[in-house]
Amino acid sequence: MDLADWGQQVETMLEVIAEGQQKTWESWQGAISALVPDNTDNEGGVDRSGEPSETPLPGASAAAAMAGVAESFFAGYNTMLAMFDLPAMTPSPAKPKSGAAGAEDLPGAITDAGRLFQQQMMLFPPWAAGQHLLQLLGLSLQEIQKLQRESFQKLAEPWHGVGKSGQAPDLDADQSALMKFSGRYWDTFERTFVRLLETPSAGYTRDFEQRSIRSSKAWFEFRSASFDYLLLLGEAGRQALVEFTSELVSMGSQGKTITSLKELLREWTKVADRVMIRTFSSERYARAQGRLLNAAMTYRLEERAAADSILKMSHLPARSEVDGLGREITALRRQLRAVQDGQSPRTATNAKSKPQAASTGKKAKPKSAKE
Amino acid sequence: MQFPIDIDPAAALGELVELNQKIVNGMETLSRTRQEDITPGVTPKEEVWRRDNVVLYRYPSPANKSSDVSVLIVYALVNRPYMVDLQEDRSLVQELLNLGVDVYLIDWGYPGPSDRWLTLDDYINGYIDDCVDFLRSSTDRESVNLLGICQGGTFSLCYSALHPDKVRNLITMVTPVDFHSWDGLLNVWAQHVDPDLMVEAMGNIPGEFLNFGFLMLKPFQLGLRKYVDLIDRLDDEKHLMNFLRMENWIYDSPDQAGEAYRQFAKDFYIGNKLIKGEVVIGGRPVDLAQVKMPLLNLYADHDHLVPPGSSIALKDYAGTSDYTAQAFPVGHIGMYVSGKVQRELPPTIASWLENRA
Repeated sequence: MDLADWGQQVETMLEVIAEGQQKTWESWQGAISALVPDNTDNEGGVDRSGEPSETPLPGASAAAAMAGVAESFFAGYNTMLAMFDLPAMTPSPAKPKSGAAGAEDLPGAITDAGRLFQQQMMLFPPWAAGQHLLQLLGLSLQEIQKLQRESFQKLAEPWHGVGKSGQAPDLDADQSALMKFSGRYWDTFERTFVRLLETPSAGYTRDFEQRSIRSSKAWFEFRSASFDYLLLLGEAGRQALVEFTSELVSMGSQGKTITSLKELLREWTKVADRVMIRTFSSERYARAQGRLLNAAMTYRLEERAAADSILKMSHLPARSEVDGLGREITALRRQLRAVQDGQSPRTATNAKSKPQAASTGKKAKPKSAKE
Repeated sequence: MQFPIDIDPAAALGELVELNQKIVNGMETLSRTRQEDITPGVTPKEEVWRRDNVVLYRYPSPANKSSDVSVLIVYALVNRPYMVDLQEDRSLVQELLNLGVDVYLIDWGYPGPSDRWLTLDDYINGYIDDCVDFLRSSTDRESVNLLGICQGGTFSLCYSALHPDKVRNLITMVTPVDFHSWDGLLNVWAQHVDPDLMVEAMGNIPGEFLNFGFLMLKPFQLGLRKYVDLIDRLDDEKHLMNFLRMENWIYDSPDQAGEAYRQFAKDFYIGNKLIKGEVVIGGRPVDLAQVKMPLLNLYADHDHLVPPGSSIALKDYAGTSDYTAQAFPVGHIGMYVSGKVQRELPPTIASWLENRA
């Protein structure tokens, strides 16, 4: 099969399609016309264009008119169906070659058909252009992958620094290497992933994305603060162990001994509490605790904002709305109290007041002469 | 030099066996104990006034006692006030009644979500003022005696400065005045906390949250050793009941109304504005120099919550010429429950009041 055959087949297909469409349209046009009532009552009626009608419109009974409509529709429908038979009109692919014994070599036939198809596709101008486009796309993909690798390397490089410069914790240092490592870890986290999160957002989800970013940052800060706080407690525990050991050594040098488990626990508690209180009294601990508490509250606020959004979408009262109600109630209570006490609503000053009966149990008595 | 740990394995095992025996005996005692057995408040009382969650109680005098002296106890918001009437032999209220003092007590109740907006003005110029007015009316007196405990003492100081004409005598007990006394851990920790953020996030500050902070002041003693020591005395029913009542009180902490907490934390703990004269309540500044009535300042030498220095500072700022201070060699809680203090404290208060009646 060559190109000329292909061209002839396509032409045949197009002719059949055009003919089918024309017949379909003519049938339906006839059906539509049959539905239009006959406006001519006299001979030589006037058609819709206003010209004398040479052929009077069918003015048969309604039943005959409907039958005619139905017939026309079905004729058009059949024509459409005939168009779907076009694939049957195209020549079928070459029949499978017969082998020496006359048996069919189906795999070979499929391979030959595929190769033939590919050759013809390459000759067909649009497909040839596509192949060229594909080559260009391949080159672009390689370029894109190269760019992605470079970008990822930029993202990953700071993390190499965290791992390389980390050392085994030096337990004798004032601020343990573990805490320094923790600091480097969170700094790098902030310089890489958190910065990605801070890219501006747009569109309908902009507000949601901004809120998610705030929640994520609050969570990161909370985790960082928790980690540092726990490290501090761990350091205090380690120091307690060191001092307890020192205490035992001191006891030993004085010839004193611990002879019961209870006494051992008492000694440990005494030392541990002493170390803990010393740690807790330090500025460093107070800052870490304050940072943890504030980070937890900030994260809680973000959680609540998210929960409020969901509650509002579900038509349920949100925390902020309940708080507002509480505020109103308290204000009303103050006003009620002022009314019951015969005063103006409490705002600022409070002059000396005489004993007055409250609404519940107070008794009004004349001023006593006693001091 | 001798190795310091010389625990004989057999003796250690014997110790464990003895411990288990005590636990078993203690379980027997516990199984006979019901919640109502440790219900706090042993002295009969009657409700004489109420507004919102706040109730004013009066403890009737014993039949054979008559009294010209009464006192209104103003307790802190952070714990329940029945600590002053914990049990038969640990009741400041009962001792004062026995000494002829009429006792009234403000019960703040348990703040709910709608109380989140209560301010210090509501508590001091509202509820305390209402109770004082009721007392003035019911006792037919122009002024009353106030006994403020811990934060209640701070409130009483503020009230006395704002309404000096209504307070005859003022007693402050383990009351913080100088909040920048740095030997108190709470004072140190408070400097790095953001009360605005806490109140915005939580509304009312949960009682459990504050409790945890108090326990962290002595984590091993209050979190571990206390319970280990308990096992040692589980078979002592009286000691066990006392312990259970204390535990009941420790963990029965009300939430703190958000706005009141905010102002107290910011103005008192962080700003230390009380001694600077910068606290404003109800639009009026609180000037401790206006506290000119007789003043008795009681404090604990080993108080880890309100360090002695924080209470003693009152002497330098109060405007009274009749100032008396007395220390007791106990901790913060010991002021209410120590047997020794129970023998000395009520007579100190009663005699001081009677001399100024």
